[in-house]
Amino acid sequence: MIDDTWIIIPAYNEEGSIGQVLEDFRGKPFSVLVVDDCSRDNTKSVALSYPITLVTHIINLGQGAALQTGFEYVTQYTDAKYVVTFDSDGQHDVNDIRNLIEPLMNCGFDVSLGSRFLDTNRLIDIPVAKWIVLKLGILFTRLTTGLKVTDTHNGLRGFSIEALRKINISHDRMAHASEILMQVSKHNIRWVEVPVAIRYTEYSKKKGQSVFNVFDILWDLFFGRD
Amino acid sequence: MNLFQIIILILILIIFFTVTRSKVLFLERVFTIIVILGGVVFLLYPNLTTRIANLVGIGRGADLIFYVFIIYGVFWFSVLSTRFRYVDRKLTKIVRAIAISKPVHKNQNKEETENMEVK
Repeated sequence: MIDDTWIIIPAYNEEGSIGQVLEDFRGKPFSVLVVDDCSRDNTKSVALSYPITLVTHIINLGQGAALQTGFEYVTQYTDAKYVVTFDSDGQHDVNDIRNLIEPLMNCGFDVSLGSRFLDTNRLIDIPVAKWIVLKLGILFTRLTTGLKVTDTHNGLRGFSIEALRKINISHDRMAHASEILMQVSKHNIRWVEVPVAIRYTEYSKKKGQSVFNVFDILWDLFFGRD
Repeated sequence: MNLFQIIILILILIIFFTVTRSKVLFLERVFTIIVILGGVVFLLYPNLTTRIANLVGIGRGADLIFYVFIIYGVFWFSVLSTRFRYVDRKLTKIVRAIAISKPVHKNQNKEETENMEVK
């Protein structure tokens, strides 16, 4: 059933956008978990004015850690059958969630990866530098995991609860995207890509991952291996 | 021996006793002791470095010590990086456990409930 779906929204200092994001979830049959990564602004109080569940990190750990916290909460303390990760900065569209769950419910897939490049009509105002960085990331991922993924750094992903139990993010900061894909590859989890819309608003462009973070991600992956 | 050598010798002995009393890995201790003893020996007998250097095909004793020190530095960099990573992991585990133990639930009626039972 679609209402056995939990949405995990990691948030760090997103008081400006999380209100609208949670507003869009009103009336939807999903349960929402917000993971507050020790925000210093009013993210927490804004989030608590909506019907959600909130867990808080007492120290800022990073988006990867926030997602893993969400994974552990949902797998251990809820009856969720499906989980979708969703960004708190307004880049994602709530209407894409059904498209992510559908292949998990009906087509036997365990992971559905949102991709902004599958349906180029939905590529709204992507900055050129970002496009280049993303394409390089895609090439790197193909080389390291063998997965032919078209959008490696898309925070909109769907998981069956069984798949989620196998996935464990140990990289706290931004290398988690590559880590998720590596684990999907390692455990031979059946995955599929789903076209989703990514909105590049002025707000999210300012906050978006800078080009320099690619270097950080590579460093993490090479020197942070276990 | 001149004053400089005496001061360095004392410093080395201090480091030696501090390190051997702290909780570090066996390998780290062994490496450190070798380097410190080596440092003491070469301080007292500088010409020894030149002889050993020539044995291994390096021109000057000072160069030999330099190379050994580079290796020592890289060793420590690796050890400390690993240490930091493990501490980070442990910290994350604690912060996560605290987060999960105190969920706040806001239902449709804006009521706040805490500490849902484990399913």
